Amino acid sequence: MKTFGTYMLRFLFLLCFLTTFKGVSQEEEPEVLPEYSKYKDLTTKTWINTYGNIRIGKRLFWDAQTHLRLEETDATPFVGQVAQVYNRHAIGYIHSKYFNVRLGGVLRLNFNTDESSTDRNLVPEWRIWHQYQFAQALESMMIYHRIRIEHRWTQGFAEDSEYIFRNRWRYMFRMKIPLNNHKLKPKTLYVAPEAELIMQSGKAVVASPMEDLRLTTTLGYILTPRLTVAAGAMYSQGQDLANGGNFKQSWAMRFHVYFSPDFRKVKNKLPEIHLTD
Amino acid sequence: MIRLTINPLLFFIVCCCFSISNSLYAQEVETYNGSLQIGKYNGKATYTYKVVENDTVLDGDFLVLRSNLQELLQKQDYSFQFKGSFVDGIPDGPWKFQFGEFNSKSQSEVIDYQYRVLVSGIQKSSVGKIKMGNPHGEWTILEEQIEDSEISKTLFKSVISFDKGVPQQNFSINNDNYTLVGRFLRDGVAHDEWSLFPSNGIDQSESWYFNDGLLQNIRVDDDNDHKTITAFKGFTGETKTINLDAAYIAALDIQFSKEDVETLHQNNLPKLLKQNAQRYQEIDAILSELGKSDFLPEFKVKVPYFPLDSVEAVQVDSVVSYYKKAKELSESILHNSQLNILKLSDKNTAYQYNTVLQIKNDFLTPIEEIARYDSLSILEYTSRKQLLDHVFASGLPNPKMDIEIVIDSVASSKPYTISTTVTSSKNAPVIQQIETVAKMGYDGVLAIANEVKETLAQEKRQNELANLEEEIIVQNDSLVMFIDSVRTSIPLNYSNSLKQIKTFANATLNSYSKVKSAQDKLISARNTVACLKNLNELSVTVSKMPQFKSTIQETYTDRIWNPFMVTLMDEDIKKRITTAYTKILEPYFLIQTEESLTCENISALNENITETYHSVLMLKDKDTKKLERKLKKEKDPLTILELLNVQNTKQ
Repeated sequence: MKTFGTYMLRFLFLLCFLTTFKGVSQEEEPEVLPEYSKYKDLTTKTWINTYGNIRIGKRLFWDAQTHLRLEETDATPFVGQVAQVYNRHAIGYIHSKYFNVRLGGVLRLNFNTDESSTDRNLVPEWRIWHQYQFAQALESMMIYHRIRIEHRWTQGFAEDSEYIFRNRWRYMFRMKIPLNNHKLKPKTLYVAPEAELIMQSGKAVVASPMEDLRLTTTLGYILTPRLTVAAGAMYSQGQDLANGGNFKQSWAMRFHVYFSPDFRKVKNKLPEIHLTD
Repeated sequence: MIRLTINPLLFFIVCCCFSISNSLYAQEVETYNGSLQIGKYNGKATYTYKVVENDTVLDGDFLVLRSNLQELLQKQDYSFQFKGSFVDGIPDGPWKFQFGEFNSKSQSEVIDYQYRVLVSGIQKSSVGKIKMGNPHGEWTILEEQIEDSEISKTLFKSVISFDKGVPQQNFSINNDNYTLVGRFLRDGVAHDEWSLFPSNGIDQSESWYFNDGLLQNIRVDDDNDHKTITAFKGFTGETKTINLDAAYIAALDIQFSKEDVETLHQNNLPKLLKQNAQRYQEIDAILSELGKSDFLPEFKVKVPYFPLDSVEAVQVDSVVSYYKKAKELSESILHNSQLNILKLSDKNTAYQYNTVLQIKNDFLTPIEEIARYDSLSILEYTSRKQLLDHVFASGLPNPKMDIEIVIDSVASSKPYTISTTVTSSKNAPVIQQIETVAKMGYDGVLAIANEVKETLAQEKRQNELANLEEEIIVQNDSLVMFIDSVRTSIPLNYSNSLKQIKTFANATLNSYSKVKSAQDKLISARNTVACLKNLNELSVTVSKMPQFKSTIQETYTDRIWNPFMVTLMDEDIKKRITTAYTKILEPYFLIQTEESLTCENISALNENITETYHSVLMLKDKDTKKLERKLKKEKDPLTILELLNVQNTKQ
């Protein structure tokens, strides 16, 4: 596991380095940056996310996520109206208790929330993504490091807009701290602080590599080993793609449902279900 | 042309016939060299044989032997050597059998470039000729004591001449103490004088005079006197030829007076003959293992013959049958320990006991003799009168008896008359008279047996009651002790049930103590013991119920992987089954224990609890979808027990 992890890390660093270099070399038109960075007004969002994790083999699973994201508009303050619908899927591989990887695609439907716009109301966005997650136990809590790399094709709402290609580099640090138990087990309330930095690169990214920094804390409850619910708040900020000097910022309420059914027959589940522990 | 064709054909056919007949009649004789087991003897064998229809048939020389120097030097060695020959599987020709049991004191000497180990022990040998499986010619059988490789004493020696298995002419048999010398006629029957004299020359010697097998008289000589006992001298009736064996001696005893029997009887003559027969049997056993053999010397004698007719034969059978039944009954009475104790204090019991004793002496003991003669098949070798006179020397027993009783050293006497349907008549045939005596004896014993039956039964009841009451106390003590020891260490709901069991046991004891009638008391005591035993078992089961519950919960917990937390978590599986147990069945069992106990339902309840536990455990690895669906709404414990397939015997 150690060797595999090490190789993976090396590979990632190389990839980061190469793309950064490429991004720098392609800088052709200098941005007109403001003298000081400018923060836009705070907006509010509501995210309702489901996370499915369906076991399909001894070490394989199907990651099926559906996210509904609402965004504040003038007509719908605070809760907002539908802005994006995510369909994120992947096939994952459980290497060990402490390391897993997954690879898959995303179809995101972007809704035009600009009420004054006369452009298209709905455009699709495509992504290929892969993720490497490390977990470790620290006393009663768990710590997770998540590296997620996305290759995304997006387009604007304008009628003739073309797809632009960007890479996203995401790292998330998260903890899950049980509150009413000595470990994460059913009937446990836990708090999960997390911080995720999302960097991006690509032709269109000139002066805005930091797409988003998300600071989230959720409070979760493990109902059963197969069902967990959580809710929390997230503050995020990031550079505007058009001008790196402008920063977007927002507050989001997040509601999560995590479920992990296992439809395999009992005889296939036992006794290997426990992997190597 | 034709002749030319036929001749080779004829020649071929002749050749074929010849080769077939050759293979049929001149089977190839093969030689075997290797180990061989003959009965208890296992040694190294060399012999020739042929195969007939897949059977090995010994034919030709035969040798098997064993000796082990190592064993001899260490402890003791048994050695043997059988040497002889067979013809078509039947022993034939000169034979020698040698058996030795030797030990050595590890003494050795060197003589003529050879190491000689001196041995001590016993060597037996038998040498002679066999003709078609039967001894033929002179056979010498020897048993010698060996001290330091030299013969120190002859323990047994017999020299007998045979003609195809029939003993002939003179023979001699001697052991340590006696020598028997005698003579046979051509047909093997004893003839003329047979002398038995002691080796030491001091004890009495006997001379048996036979005339063509029929014993005439026996002359007994000792130092200062001689006596002649007449046997069948002068008998002219029908005779029968039989073997000279123990049965013959028993038949002779009937002829002789008691005094004569005592004079004669150290049984030396038959003892010698028996010793001789054993030696022949040893050899016969070996030869029979290897092939066909009939190697038993039969010494024939003649006896007077008075055959039983069919009526008499039936009567003899019934005599034996009465005797057997009467003996069994009388033994059971005479050996009954309670009667033996009771007779010391109770006059009536003493009377009954002594009556049986007297019937045994007067009736059963003589009849036992008759039964013995019958088993030896010698009833026909004596005249009926002689038989009656011998067995009932002091006349036929009288059914009217005077029974002596001694209680506390005071002797008294009381008459007893056997009530029987038969009457004895002096004019009746002898065998019928004997049968009457046998029947009377049986009737007498049977009557007493019926009388003492009640005494015995009462005694038995009292004893049983005492034992049962002891058992009641033991069971109750163990119950109380057990419950007190576990009550504090288990959860309250279980310990309440245990407390209730204790209370119930107390109530059971109370109701037992109120039973007054003797008959009811015994039944009640038995029930109470069973009830307390069951309560003991139930209390053990109840004390295990917390363990049952946690075992079930553990069994129905699976460790499963939670991918979001990245941890393994315990998951309760088949919750409907575990819930049915923990929420419905277990409370039901406890309530049953607390509220509905009766002596009759304890064992069923106990069985239900343990069976339920086991069947719940068994369900873990089974497909229980249907069951779980049914359990979903079911709240009735009896229905659930049925669903779980636990036999719920009506409570």
